[in-house]
Amino acid sequence: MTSLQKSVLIVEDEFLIAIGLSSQVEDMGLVVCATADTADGAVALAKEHHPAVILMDVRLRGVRDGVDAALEIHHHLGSKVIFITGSREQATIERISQDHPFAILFKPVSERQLQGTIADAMRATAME
Amino acid sequence: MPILDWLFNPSGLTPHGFCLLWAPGMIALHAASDAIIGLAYFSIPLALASFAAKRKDLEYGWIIHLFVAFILACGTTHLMSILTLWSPAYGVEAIIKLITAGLSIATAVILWPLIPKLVAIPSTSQLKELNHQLAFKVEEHSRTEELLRQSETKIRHSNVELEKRVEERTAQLVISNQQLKDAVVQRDLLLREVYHRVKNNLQMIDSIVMLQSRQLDDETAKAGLKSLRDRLYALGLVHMQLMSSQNLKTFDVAPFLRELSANILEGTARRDIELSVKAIPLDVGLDFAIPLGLLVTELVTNSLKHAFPDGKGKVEVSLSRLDDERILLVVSDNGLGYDPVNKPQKDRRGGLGTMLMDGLIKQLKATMTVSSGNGTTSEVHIASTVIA
Repeated sequence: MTSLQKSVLIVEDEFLIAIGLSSQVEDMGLVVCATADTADGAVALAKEHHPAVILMDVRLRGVRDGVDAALEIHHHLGSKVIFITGSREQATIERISQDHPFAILFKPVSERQLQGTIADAMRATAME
Repeated sequence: MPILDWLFNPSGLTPHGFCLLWAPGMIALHAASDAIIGLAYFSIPLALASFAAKRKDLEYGWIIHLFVAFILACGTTHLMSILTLWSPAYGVEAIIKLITAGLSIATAVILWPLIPKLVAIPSTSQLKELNHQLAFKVEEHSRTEELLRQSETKIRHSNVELEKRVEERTAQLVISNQQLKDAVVQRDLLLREVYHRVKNNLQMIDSIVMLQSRQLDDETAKAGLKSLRDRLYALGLVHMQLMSSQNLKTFDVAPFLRELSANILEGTARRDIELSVKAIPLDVGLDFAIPLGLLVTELVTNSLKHAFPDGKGKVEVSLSRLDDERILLVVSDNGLGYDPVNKPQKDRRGGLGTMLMDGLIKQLKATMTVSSGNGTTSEVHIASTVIA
C-alpha cells in the first residue's frame, strides 16, 4: 500500500458545507489536499494525493454515491474514511457499514465532534 | 246300524226314480240337468277360489271363500239329487241340504251388512279417475320442479354474477389500496426529502456563519455568532429527529434533549463541566420541539456562560410529567446564582436571550420561574395540550 500523506480529502457536493468543513480541518493545523463533489472526482483526487483521512458525504452529484467512492478508495489506498451523513435510516447505515468506515458522523456535526474524530483517525494512521 | 240305515236307506222309502215311474226320458233329463248344474256349481267356486288365490290383495276376500263353500254345497245337493233317483239316501241328502242351508243363510246374512263396505271400496273407474288426478298432480309437481330448477339456475347465475362483481370490486380495492400505499410511500419520501433539505440549508447557513465568525476579531461579535449557531443547531436537530421518526410527525424528546445539550456543552470546550439530562419518554411534534429546543438552548447556554467562572460545575436538564398532566422542564446549575435585585436577568444574558425566552414561553403557553440559591434553577411549566 502507498504511504499516506498527513492530509484530509473532503468529499461534499455542497460548496458551503465543504468550505465549512475545510476551515474546521485547517483550524486543527491540518492540510486539506482537495475537495471533491462527485464519487469519481473523489477517487481520482484520492489516488493523486493519498490523503490519510477522507471526510465523505453519502449523497453526491452523479450516479455513484460516497459509499461507492469509499469502497474503491479503501481498496486502492486504505485511507481512513469518516462518513458524514444526513440520514439515520437503517438502510443507509447498513450500506455505509459494508465499507469498514472509520466513523459515521450524523449531520449536523459539531466542531468538537468533527475535530475529535479526525484527530483519532490521524492517530490510527500514524500507528499503522 | 240305525244311523247308516237312516242315512242311506230309511225303511219304507223308495228312490226318487220311483216317483217318476222310472220314465226313462224323465230320469235321464233330471240326471243330466242335475249333473250339468252340479258340474257348473263345482266349476264356478273353483274359478272363484283360483281368482281369490291369485288376488291376495282383495279386501273382504274371505267372502269369496264363503261363496265358494256355499256354491260347492249347492252343487253337492244337485249331485245328491242324481243319487236319490236310484238310491233312497235321503238322510245324506237332508244333511247336505242342511249344511247348504247353513252356508247360504250365513252368506245371505253376512252379505247385507257388508254391502256398504264393499260399495266404499273404490271402483276401477274411480281408481282411474284418482289415477288421472294423480297423474295431473305428478305433472304439476314436475312443472313446479322445473320452475324450481329454473330459479335455481337463475340463482346460480346471479351468484356467479355476484361473485364476479365481488371479485372485480376486490380487485379495484386492491388497486386503490396499493395506490394509497404508494401515495403514502411517496408522501413519506417527500417529507423526508423536505426535512433533509431544511436541515441541509440550516447546515449551509451554519457554515456561512462559521466562516463569517472566523473573519471577526471582536469577541462579542464572535460570541453572538456562536449563540446563533447553537440556535441553528437546535432547528437542524429537530429536522434530523423528524427524518428518522417512524411516522415523520413526532419523535421521542429524550434523545433530542440529550444531543442538544451535549452539543452546546461541546461548543464551549469546557471539559470540567458535567452535564446530566433526564427526560421521560415523550413523543413530541415539530411545533413543540422547536420552541422547547430553543428554550433549552438559551437556558443551558446561560448556565455555561455565567455560572462557572472557574470552569467547573454541573448542569442538569430534566423533563417530567406532573400529576396534573403538565410538563415540567427544569434547567439548573450549581454555579454562581444571581442576585435578582442588584443584577437583573437581562444583565446576565443580554436583551436578545431574554426576549427570545419570553417569546418561546408564551408560544409554549408556559410559565417560568427562576430561583437562585445554590446555583440557578429555571422551572418551566408547560400545558400538555401543546406537545404533539
